[in-house]
Amino acid sequence: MALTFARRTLGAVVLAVACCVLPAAARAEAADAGQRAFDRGDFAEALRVWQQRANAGDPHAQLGMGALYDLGRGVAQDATAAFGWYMRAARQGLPEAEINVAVMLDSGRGTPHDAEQAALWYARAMLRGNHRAEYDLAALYASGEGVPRNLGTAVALYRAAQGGGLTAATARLKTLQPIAPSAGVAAQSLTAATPLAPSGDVTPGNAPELVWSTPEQPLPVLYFVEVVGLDADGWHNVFTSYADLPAALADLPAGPGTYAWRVYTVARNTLHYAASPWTGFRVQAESSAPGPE
Amino acid sequence: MRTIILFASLAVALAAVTSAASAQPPAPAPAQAQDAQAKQPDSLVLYFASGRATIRPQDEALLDKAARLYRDGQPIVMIVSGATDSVGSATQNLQLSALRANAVVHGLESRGIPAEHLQLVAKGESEPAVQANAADERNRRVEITWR
Repeated sequence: MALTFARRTLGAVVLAVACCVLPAAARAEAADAGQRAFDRGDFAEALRVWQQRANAGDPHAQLGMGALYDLGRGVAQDATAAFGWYMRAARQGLPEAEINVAVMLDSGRGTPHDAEQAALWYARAMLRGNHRAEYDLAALYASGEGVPRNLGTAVALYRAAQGGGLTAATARLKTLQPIAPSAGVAAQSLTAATPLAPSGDVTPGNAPELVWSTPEQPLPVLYFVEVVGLDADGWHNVFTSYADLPAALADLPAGPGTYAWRVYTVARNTLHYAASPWTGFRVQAESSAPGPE
Repeated sequence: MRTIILFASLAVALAAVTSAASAQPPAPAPAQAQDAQAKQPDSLVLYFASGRATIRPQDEALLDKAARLYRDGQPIVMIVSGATDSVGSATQNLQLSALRANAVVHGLESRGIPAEHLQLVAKGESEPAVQANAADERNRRVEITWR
């Protein structure tokens, strides 16, 4: 007795689902001919349009190219090429691309497994509002994969994911027991965080994503980030912020500039802190931004 | 072949399983060309205790792993297929397989996977992974595949 049903309609439904799930940011571009072609299943046309725009630096088109290669639509399936396109879009701060880069580094799809880089890209996606990235980064901190094992940070990240509606975080929080504060020895044993990004050249046009990793601390902490601008006259403060999670978006002046940043690990209930080393980065002028690779 | 396919976003309920069972099975649609050239999908398998549809604590990590494979911004579909061993009636097993698959669907949703990207399949006892012994515990399973 066969109880299979909806097989004929399944294809149509799957296609309908496919048409509804491209990123909101990409869909917001009503004039995106590539998106329209993709929606109607004309993958060759989507490829033609997106390739042109992607090569011109459009991150949404680069994300679309990544999807075509990821799924093998209009091109032969090629996870490595997909990763490359996702990475180009991610470097421009597109959240969907950032989480895709993270999960592919995490799973070793299209690129060698690299948990440290995965953690970095999860953090970047988190800064752009992706709650899945909070949950996944929490898992890395809970296990010590790619980052120092830090249950306090894992708890903070799971709570953030929980606040974003990921109910699995609630169950995870029940299983985690952060190390209890140990009075007395705590103040002298704070460990400075390790800046992960940015360093070197930064793609202009988006607020730089400051990301650091931090080991378990003996008492509750928060972070204080400081960015200074460097010019011929010396240095001047351009951005400071407190953060509960190990990342922050730096709101910098428009245009090119050379900067240095560091992060303080600050005890919540004492005056003690530990400062990371300074890390330099440079925001290039728009016209001198690196082109497609 | 006893198979039920539902979209998770429709809030799969047992009543739906029952009503779906009476639907006329249409002829299968021809496979799309690009599907034919797609690679064999990856998969993860979760196992269940006899007669149960509860995800074991040790398998929560597997759900984390599955969620960490999902990529945004593309029409990827994760297929969640529940199955049972041959112990009990075929109808009960069909329902049990739906419950198992539904538990996994909820687990993935709770990790931020959009419901519209999840497809639930209830196989009952119709497609045992261990065919030589339909009562084998390895047939009490949910397989997650994606493409």
